[in-house]
Amino acid sequence: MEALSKTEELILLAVWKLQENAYGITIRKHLKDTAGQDISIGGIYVPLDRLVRKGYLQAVQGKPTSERGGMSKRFYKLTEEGCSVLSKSKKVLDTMWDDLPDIKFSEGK
Amino acid sequence: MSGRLHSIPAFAAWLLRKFLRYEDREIILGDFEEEYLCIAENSGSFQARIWLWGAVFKSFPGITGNSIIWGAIMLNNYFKIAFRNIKKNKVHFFINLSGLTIGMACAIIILLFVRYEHNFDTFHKNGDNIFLVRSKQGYSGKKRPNASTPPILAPVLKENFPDFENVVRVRGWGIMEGTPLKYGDKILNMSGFYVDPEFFEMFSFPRAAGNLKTALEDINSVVISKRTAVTFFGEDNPVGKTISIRRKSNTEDFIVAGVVYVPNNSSFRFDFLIPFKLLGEPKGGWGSNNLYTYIQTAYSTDVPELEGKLKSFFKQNPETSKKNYILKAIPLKDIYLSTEIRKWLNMQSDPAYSFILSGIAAAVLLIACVNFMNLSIGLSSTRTKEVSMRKVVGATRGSLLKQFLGESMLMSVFAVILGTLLAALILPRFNALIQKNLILDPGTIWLPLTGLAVITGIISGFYPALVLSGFRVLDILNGRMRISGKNLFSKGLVVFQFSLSILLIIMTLVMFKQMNFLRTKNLGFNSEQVVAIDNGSDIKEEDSRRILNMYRQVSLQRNELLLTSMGSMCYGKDDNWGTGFEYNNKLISCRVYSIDYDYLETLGIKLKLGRNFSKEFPADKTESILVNETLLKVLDIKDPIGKTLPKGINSGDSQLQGTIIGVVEDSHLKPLHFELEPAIFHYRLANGILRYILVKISPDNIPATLDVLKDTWKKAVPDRPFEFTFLDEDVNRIFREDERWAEITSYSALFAIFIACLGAYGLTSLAVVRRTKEIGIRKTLGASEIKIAGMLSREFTWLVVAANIIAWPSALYFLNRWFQNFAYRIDMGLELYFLAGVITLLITLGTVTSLAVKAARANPVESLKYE
Repeated sequence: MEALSKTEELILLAVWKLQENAYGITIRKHLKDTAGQDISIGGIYVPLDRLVRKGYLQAVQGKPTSERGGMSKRFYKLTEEGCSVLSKSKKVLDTMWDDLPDIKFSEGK
Repeated sequence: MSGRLHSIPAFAAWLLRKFLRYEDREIILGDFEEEYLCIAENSGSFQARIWLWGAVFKSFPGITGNSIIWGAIMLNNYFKIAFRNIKKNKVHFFINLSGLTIGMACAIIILLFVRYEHNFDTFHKNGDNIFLVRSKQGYSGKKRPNASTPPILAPVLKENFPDFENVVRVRGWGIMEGTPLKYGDKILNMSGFYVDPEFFEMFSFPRAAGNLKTALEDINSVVISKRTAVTFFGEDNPVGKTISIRRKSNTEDFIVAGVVYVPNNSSFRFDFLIPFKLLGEPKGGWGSNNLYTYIQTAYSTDVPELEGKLKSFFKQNPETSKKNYILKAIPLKDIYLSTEIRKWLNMQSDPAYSFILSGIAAAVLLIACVNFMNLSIGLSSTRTKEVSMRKVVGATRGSLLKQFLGESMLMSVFAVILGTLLAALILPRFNALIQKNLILDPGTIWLPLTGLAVITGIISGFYPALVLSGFRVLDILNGRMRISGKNLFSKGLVVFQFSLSILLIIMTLVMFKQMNFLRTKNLGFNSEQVVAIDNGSDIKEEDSRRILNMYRQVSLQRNELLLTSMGSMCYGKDDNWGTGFEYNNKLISCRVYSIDYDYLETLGIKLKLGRNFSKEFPADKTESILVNETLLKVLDIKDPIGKTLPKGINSGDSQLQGTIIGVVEDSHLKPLHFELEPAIFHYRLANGILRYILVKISPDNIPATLDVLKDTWKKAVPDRPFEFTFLDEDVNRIFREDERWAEITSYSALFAIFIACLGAYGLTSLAVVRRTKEIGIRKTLGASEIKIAGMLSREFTWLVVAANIIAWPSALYFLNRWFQNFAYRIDMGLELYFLAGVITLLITLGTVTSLAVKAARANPVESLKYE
């Protein structure tokens, strides 16, 4: 499995967190709030489509709603591969973080 | 919840829709809507709009990046398929490309020509407000009138029309051609005009030196053209220097006050201009039309309005209303191509040339496009699978159309590029043919070229694209589809191609026959080895005599000068001495020529009856006249020798009263466009009348002989330039002008038939492929190879015959129009028409049969093996 980019990983986690409510706008908002990443409305779909192509996400078309002027939403769900790739990534990070020695930062100079 | 309906502005929605892919459209638009509504509710619609545009802007790279990439991938596929198709059908591609290239080259060359013709006199700043006026009456006759006006017109206009910014007169009398200009030891004949000083205000000839505003105020000043300046003064500034001009038999000094450039696209050409004041007070009444008058209005107007104003003025004016004087106006930019007036002080060209050449170019290009159409449709059977597969995976009819149109556009662009190269190669030859200097400059011409490529691509590609994209998928995949290539449309196109080709061939044949006829027609005189020397139109009698006597003396000493003589006219020169008189109650008009004793012998003109002028009869000088056969016929006299002609209307200062002493054989002293007119010859030396010296020289060592002539001249009249031509060259030159048209037509015919044959070849090869099975079956059933080849060729034979039926009447029409130029015509006769038809048939059959024979030889086992 290829490595995930930071943004992709964050998006996958966001989708996981948001569960049933994971679509373009909510994902963007979540990313902005938690990670400070500001992605444009159109721009978010580039990594989203890529993740779908890679098989980590699944897209589901919703019903048209009046608050969107009659247009439907596209919801995203995490797939099994997506879940597993996230775990793998976390394990790697955990191993990296494990048993880190103390660092003393020298003052001045 | 407010009742107002917020929604993103329509423009933004439209923009997004344009760039989003179909699948994403709804989703992403929905996202925009949702957030827009949210912000609008919280912070108001103004904030929302600001946010919206920011968001759209930021989203753009993401959105378009995708579709551009997809677009590029698709384009790549289109290119790949297009090239594969080309490789599969190399021959057909070559046929298409060469046909289109030739068509493009023709179109480009003629485009240059038409642009050149229509770009005359456009450099004058006030051009839109300048008009040339002409008097309507004072002329009768079949030819177009001169745009002439009387001298008194200009002052009258200036006085009564204060809103005419400028009124300028231009007169060429006496100095328009052959006027000697001298500076230092250089004497040359130049062409000049008398003009009013405001000439340079009205017209925008670029200044090269001097002050144009004051240039012609001084009566002894002259303005010269840059070319004249360079000829006489080299690189020095001529302003202030003195040159002498010979006008009215006097040499006068003029000071150069200015130098102007005469641009190539100016129809008014001159070497020098001198003040109108030199001619003194305007003479003559409202009928003495002898100069140009130009008007410049201070406001913009059109011809009807201007003519109306002039008309009402002239009606009120007591003098002119009596004579019913009418003034017509021609805008400056229309002068060069005007069909209203004829060439006089301006250069002129016939707009018919542009029409005809454009017609020919369009025809050739059209034939090439038709080829493309036919071949593409014929080839469509090879692409059926491709089209149906594309449809299956989701191509719309529109995208298929775009694909095929794109292919034809690609071909068109190739053809334009190659055609430009071809045009550049042909251009020098074409320039030689039409005696002009057209330049192919991509910088100025790229726009029309692009237009040409686009239009050709659309015309030739549209119909095939429709056909190709309209296939029904299931029919094809199930093998049920049959492309008939036999449809009426294709056939009609082929007939059209061939009729155009046949038309051009007929015209070529007839034109060449006519040219040949003219060339070989006996002109009645012998122009070989005759040198014609121009004395100048204003030569004094004593000078003429002196020159002739000196030549006579020299000819006694030197063998090369066989004969010398003088005359008032020369072949090809436009000296219009004519007159009319009454005889037996008939009004006779005829030409009047003055000659000396040896003129007839020099030209080899024979006497039919009676005798020539002779020194033995001193009365010959004033009392005798010769007439030509035509005049004799017109006068209907039985025994002409000794009869006298009555005094008639005077023509200048020549007398008509005279006794006929001889009858001269008819000779065409004017080009064969004109009918041979009745003529009177008399012997009379008077001012300017015996203008040309004709010397018959021996054919050996011509350059030496010319030197002798030149030296003798210089001794006789040192202040006149020596100008000569060879008479047979003059005769030739006039023929060449007409022959050039025949050449142009012949080239077009060549192109046309070449392209049409390419088309025939292509279509036949398609037919052969299509009918492979049929041929195989026929062979096994026992048909001979000849029969099969004949069967394939038969189709085209009938088409060519049909094409003849259309071509012949059209050829008749066009040729009749062309024949009106000539007074002497051949009898057209149907043989040439048949010949053209047969030639076309043979050429076509030649191309088709080779393919047909190959097909007929094919092994039927091969063609019938697969089902």
